Amino acid sequence: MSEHLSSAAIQEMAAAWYKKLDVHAPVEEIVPMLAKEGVKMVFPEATVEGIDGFKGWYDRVINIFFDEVHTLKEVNVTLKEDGKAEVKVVVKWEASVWKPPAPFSERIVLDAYQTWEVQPDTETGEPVVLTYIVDDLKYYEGSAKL
Amino acid sequence: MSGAAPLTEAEVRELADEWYNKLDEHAPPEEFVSLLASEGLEMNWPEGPFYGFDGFKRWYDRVLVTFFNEVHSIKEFSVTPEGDRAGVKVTVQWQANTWKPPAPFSERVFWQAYQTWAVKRDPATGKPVIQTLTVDSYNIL
Repeated sequence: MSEHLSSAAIQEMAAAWYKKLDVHAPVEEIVPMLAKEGVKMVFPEATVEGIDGFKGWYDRVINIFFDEVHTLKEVNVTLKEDGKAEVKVVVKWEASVWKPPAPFSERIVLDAYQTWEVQPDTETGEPVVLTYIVDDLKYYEGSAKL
Repeated sequence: MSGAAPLTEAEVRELADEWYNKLDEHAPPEEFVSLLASEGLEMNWPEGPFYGFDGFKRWYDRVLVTFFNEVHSIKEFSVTPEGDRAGVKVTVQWQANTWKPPAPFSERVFWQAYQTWAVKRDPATGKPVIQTLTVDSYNIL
């Protein structure tokens, strides 16, 4: 088992991550993609730490957004000497929100610019997210706002 | 005989258009008052019968929190005048989304409903109002 990250493995993990978000996968399927200790995620609306922090965030998200489509536009991996990797991600995110009794749902369409710090899992060697920071959001014309 | 002028097809169609537009827009319940008979209102939806304006509100309150992105399209509309009242046959197509959190995707429903209305002229305003509305049958498109 190798504990060295590869760019290909990280790209694969990023694609799998967003696929699971789109289908509102059970949180148990997503947690293995996060560092068991010290994970920190900075979203526009909240900063969460630890697996339990992520679970709380995810539970809120899947009860707010639906018909989600994440499209990866860029995944730029920089492998570092300490065995970790810095990953610059640009992902197009489309999602609907509906607040009853509103007559119509609203559609959010934006590009999210993110920086991830990825490390190999201590047991499996697979890449896991240690930090996940949303640096910027750029809305498409006509998009609803968060 | 009340002596009120017979209802015209144009008046009744205007009532139907306003009714469906307000449903699509999730208009406040109060805006439906002028479209519904103040006494003896009866609505027979697939969910069951609802009586009076309070009954309408009970039905409507559930609709408002269940469906969105609604589009009602009248496909067939015929009016049979009966003095100051009118019998109406309506075929209406209805599309709407539903979403049950935390489901990942909403669902689009597309139905066609066949309805019978009894419309009368409101004695106070002189405008046509729905006295009874019955969904006779419906099918998925």
